[in-house]
Amino acid sequence: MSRSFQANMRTEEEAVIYDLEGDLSHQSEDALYGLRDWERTPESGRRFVVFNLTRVSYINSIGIAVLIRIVRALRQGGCQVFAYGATPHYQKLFRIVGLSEHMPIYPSEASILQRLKLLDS
Amino acid sequence: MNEGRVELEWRIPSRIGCEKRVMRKVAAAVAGHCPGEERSEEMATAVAEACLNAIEHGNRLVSRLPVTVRLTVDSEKYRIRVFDQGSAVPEVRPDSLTLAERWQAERPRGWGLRIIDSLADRFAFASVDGGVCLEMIFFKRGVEP
Repeated sequence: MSRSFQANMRTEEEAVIYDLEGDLSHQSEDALYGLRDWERTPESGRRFVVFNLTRVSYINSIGIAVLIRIVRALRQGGCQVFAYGATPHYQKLFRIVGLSEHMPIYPSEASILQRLKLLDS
Repeated sequence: MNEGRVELEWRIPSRIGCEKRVMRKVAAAVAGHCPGEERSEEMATAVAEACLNAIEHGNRLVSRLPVTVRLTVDSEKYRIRVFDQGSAVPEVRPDSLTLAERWQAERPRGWGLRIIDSLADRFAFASVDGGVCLEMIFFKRGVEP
């Protein structure tokens, strides 16, 4: 894994959360694809996947393409995908490429978990 | 340099990742020339995407081939030109694919030009001195594009 990008998984209530750190660019490709088979539902059975972008400092079109492939695979596998921590500028880029439609951006992890409780009830 | 006009130039090798270096320099130059410029982050991103395009498609990842970035600032606009050693001027035409169709592509790429198109007020490719130049214009606040 490249030193300039890290992805760590944890679970929180009904969600699998990936804390991303570093540049979401070409360096993130191997790290993210090597993390798991994105088309398979997590073994925990959790169908909500959350990307924490709080510590992602740079996102370019290569990283966006990686994220699009992952989000697409997750949705095809029956998961719902959310994200939080993207700056207003990167939220704008996500809207430009249509990513926000498939991966809604929330202001915080707490707000997503609150939303998931409603979806689950 | 004319009075009130700034012209700066940077050069990077054709290695993915080097675009970050020049995007920071462009952002710093814009901040220095026009403190509080609201579009500096958009310009920096557009520069990074233009450099990636030049590195990948113009110079085909041959690291010894340089990518040159030239920033010109005058009273009305920021003009950013990114030069590579490519031979073919890309044809820019309205996107024939919808976002949904592009999403279904096996390896959905080509987002860089879509991002540049959305962020810059104008952009165009041209053939310059045997290479290719991508020019982007960002008008200053209050100037009609």
